[in-house]
Amino acid sequence: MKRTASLASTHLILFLLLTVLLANVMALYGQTAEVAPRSGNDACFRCHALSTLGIRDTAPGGIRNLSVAPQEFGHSIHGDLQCTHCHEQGYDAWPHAQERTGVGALRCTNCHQDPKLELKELFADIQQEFAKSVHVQKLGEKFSCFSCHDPHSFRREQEVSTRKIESANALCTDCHESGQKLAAFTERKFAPIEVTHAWLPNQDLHWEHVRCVDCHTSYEAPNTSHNVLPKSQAVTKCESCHSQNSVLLAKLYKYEHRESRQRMGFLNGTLLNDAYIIGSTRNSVLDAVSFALFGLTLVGIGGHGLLRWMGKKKREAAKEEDA
Amino acid sequence: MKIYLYPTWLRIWHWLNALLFLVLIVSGVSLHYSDTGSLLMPFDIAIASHNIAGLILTGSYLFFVIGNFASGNYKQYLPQPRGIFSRLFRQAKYYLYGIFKGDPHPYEVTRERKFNPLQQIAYLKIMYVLFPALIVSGWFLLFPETAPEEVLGMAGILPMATAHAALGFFLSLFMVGHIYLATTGKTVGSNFKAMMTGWHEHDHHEEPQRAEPLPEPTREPELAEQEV
Ligand code: HEC
Ligand code: HEC
Ligand code: HEC
Ligand code: HEC
Ligand code: HEC
Ligand code: HEC
Ligand code: HEC
Repeated sequence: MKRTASLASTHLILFLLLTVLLANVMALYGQTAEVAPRSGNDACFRCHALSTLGIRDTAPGGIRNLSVAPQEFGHSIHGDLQCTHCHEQGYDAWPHAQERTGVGALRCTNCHQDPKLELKELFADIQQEFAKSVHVQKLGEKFSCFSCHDPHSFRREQEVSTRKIESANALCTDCHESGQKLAAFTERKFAPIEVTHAWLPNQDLHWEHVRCVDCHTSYEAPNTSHNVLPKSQAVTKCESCHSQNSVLLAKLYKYEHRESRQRMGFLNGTLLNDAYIIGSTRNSVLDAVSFALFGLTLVGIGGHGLLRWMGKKKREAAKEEDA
Repeated sequence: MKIYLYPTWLRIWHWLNALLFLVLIVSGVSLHYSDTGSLLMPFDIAIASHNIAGLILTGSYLFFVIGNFASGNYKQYLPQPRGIFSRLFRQAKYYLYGIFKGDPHPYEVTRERKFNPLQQIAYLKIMYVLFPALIVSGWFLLFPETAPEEVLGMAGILPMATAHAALGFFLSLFMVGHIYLATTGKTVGSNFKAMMTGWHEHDHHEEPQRAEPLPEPTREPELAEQEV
């Protein structure tokens, strides 16, 4: 609501001159006719597919990008939905009506916890962790699911791959490496990531193989990687990952086997996987108990055997005497 | 006196199982201490042999269970509840005392009763509780995404892996004890020979004074005992 109001008052400049827009609209009509028609959405893509569509905004940095890439949207998890499924009111015509569903009011959970829609995924766990995260604690309402996830391109990947890790990290770096975006949320200034993580050697390799959230989120159940902790609680110890005790990889690990199965074929991947959690389950108490039990068993067997042997000798001696 | 105690299928299973256990112990220990470098075998070889041996072990365990029920051998594992404690006590007393004096085994091996009461209890637990638990936890580690999402606030795979290691260790310990107790036959080597040939050899002694009557045999012997 607030956003709609502020929009109205924003002196609004179309980035494209109307003439250019119209010319483009004609061109687009030609293009989309060849692509499989996505009936309702084509009407919106006529304008919103333009990568240059944007408006001047009050937000520092100034420009709100209003373009939605049709390809990405089509491949996203919501690709089968109509734009108007989410942008319900006021967008059927242009200029869009003043009374419209403000984008600021949309939340993943608005729909996903709406009993009417009966969606499979409720995100209750994610929501709960998200609410505890340092972002929400410090930034409040301003920070939403969409601060990280673009609703028009969101899709999930479970198999661990450098691509997945890269895209997961991009969610964080898109904001944390952009002074403008950060400034929209806080006055606080951050030093560049390379500097604040200078203690971590082989940075490039680490960014390729490990996600920001693997160090920065809580490991407590439900462990959905959405509870971003204060920086003082981030993982610093090398041993947490390198070494037997890679409890860490409980986050990434689950999908690791699956990937090796795909990479190497089911049988090979299953039997020759390079599962890393192995060795990580060593527990020093359990190990000590095991050693003690093993020692006791050996001593017991040794003693028992010795007594048996001595008994036998004695009996043999007695027999000889009898004879 | 000799009796035919161990049919061929059982002996094949037994030795296959023994071999797999050795492979699994050696590779399992290397995996458990993976960070010490190649303790007993290189990591990748340890993984492959552990996984493959585990797979075969699962098959051989199923074979064992099916064979057991098909042949009626399973009855050997079921202790008669009546008087169980005094029988257990009697057997324990033998192992801790009588054996040194050269007393005869309190429960002579017969076709209907090849296990003494202690063995029955131990084998029942091991073969039908711990062994399957070991196998199931192993499979969860092979397909970790099927493990429960969460157990007591930890990622579900951790307790699974800990249980697997603990069970594996316990069964290895059992194996050591088992091998030692196998030397308490007529001669040190006779039980090992019996497991190769199927023929069990023991001194036939006069039935000792029994503390309590033995349970009735559960079935008629199919093969006559052979006096040799
Ligand atoms: C003729 C071009 C055109 C068409 C067609 C069009 N839009 Fe827009 N849309 C715009 C422009 C320009 C803006 C920015 C001005 C504004 O907010 O009114 C905009 C803004 C928006 C916004 C942001 C509103 C806000 O409050 O921040 C949404 C959401 C939106 N459009 C959705 C749609 C949907 C859904 C459709 C299809 C049903 C659609 N648009 C069709 C040009 C268009
Ligand atoms: C699954 C629901 C969903 C669907 C489907 C959807 N959107 Fe959106 N859209 C959103 C949400 C949520 C936001 C607000 C994002 C935010 O707050 O940053 C949004 C924001 C926008 C904006 C404003 C962008 C901005 O930065 O403020 C435009 C323009 C837009 N959508 C256009 C479209 C068009 C065009 C389509 C169809 C191709 C579409 N949307 C389909 C959920 C959806
Ligand atoms: C306006 C309502 C709406 C909003 C907002 C919305 N979704 Fe959805 N979402 C849906 C609908 C409807 C489906 C079912 C799509 C289908 O079955 O094709 C869906 C499906 C999904 C699925 C696939 C689950 C399944 O059952 O197949 C995921 C994952 C998902 N959404 C994530 C998100 C995330 C993350 C957000 C926030 C960034 C979000 N959604 C916001 C309406 C919404
Ligand atoms: C601080 C950034 C951030 C915020 C805010 C955020 N997420 Fe995420 N989300 C992530 C990251 C990072 C991933 C992991 C992506 C990956 O590994 O591919 C993720 C993954 C997901 C997944 C896929 C999980 C899976 O296992 O497949 C869903 C669904 C999701 N988020 C929903 C939400 C919802 C709902 C909200 C709001 C309550 C939200 N996210 C808020 C960063 C965020
Ligand atoms: C190996 C673990 C690890 C990884 C991976 C990691 N971080 Fe950090 N990060 C830390 C630790 C530890 C700190 C606290 C450093 C300190 O207090 O000096 C930190 C601090 C931060 C801070 C606060 C910096 C400041 O100026 O106060 C931000 C922001 C941050 N990380 C973002 C990221 C992002 C984004 C990524 C992914 C590209 C990432 N981190 C990856 C461990 C990690
Ligand atoms: C939309 C912008 C945005 C995104 C996306 C984002 N952050 Fe932040 N993050 C911020 C802002 C703003 C702050 C400063 C909060 C404050 O201290 O006021 C912050 C603070 C932090 C801090 C420092 C907390 C502390 O104790 O001072 C860490 C660590 C961090 N973010 C990690 C991440 C990680 C990991 C991701 C990706 C999963 C991520 N952020 C995604 C904006 C963002
Ligand atoms: C969040 C988990 C994590 C933490 C914490 C972490 N690393 Fe790493 N590290 C990795 C991963 C994953 C790789 C990539 C391993 C691979 O693919 O070979 C890696 C690779 C490396 C490499 C390169 C090894 C090679 O094969 O070339 C070095 C060196 C390294 N890390 C050192 C460190 C040091 C020193 C620390 C502590 C300051 C640390 N790491 C903390 C996960 C971590």
